[in-house]
Amino acid sequence: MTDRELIDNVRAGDSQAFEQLVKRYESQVAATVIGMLGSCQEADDVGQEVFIRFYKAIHQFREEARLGTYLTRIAINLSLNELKRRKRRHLLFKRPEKVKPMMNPDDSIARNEKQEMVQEAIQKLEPKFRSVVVLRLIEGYSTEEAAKILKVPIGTVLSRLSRAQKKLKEMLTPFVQEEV
Amino acid sequence: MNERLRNLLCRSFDEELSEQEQRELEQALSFSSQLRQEQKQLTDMRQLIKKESVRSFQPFFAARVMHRIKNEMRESEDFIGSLVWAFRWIAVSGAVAILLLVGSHVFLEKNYSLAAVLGMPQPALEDTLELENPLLEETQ
Repeated sequence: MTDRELIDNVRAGDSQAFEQLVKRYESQVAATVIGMLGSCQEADDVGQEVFIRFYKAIHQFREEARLGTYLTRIAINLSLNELKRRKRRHLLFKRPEKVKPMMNPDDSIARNEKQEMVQEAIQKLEPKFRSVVVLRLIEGYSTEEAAKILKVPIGTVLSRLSRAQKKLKEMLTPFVQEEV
Repeated sequence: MNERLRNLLCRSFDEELSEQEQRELEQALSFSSQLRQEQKQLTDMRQLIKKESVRSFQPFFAARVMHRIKNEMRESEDFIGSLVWAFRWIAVSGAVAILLLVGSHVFLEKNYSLAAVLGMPQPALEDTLELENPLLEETQ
């Protein structure tokens, strides 16, 4: 079934249709939220909140925007809010923020280490640089789409990408050379 | 390496260069192994980031979402239900009060006119005639 058909079914009261939508877009939302927050319990909570907000607003959802883009926009905004909350907690309690990775037991150890390194490197970026990396490099949005989602000019996206890549290159070059 | 060329290379990944810039970059790449290596490192890094991104939450994520939605709907129904219950009592009490008030007006006035029901003052006939002929006083 297409997204539109599933959404129409949800509006008619079919909760299983919504569960199908969640399964369909879980990976896209996960890539965005985990890219922004790291693999942690808060990421799971924020991921759930993305879909709950969509469910509550489903009657107002207009299909001009693709559903994936709509969900990504919510995911980015909620992730940025969570990062602000983290910063306030960090300032209040003077505790270093450590994001504990949630290991997937099915993956090999080597893959998990690489994932951890990449996640750590991205987590070291400031939120405004992290968001462009997530949208452009992880999700594959064009610079124009990323600018629309973040509501900033294209020039801003490009300059943030450029600075983010420079920082990431410093951190990830040893890994990149290892891959080669 | 020329910083300008490095910037041009970086920009080439995310924006469309002008024809002149494209030519300049291609020429620089053909002459500079360092720039080619930089290009390969950037390409590999971007692929690594994409490839190693985590694309799933913990297991049974969809089930957790549906469970939360059901709980929130139930809480909201409970809240609306208790509001309806409270307003029902308020509405009934208000209706009873209005009926008692109307009944007392009718009982006291022994009159079933709209004015009596609404508790409006009932002017005497002489007062009404005076009100209707204000000019009468002035000419007198």
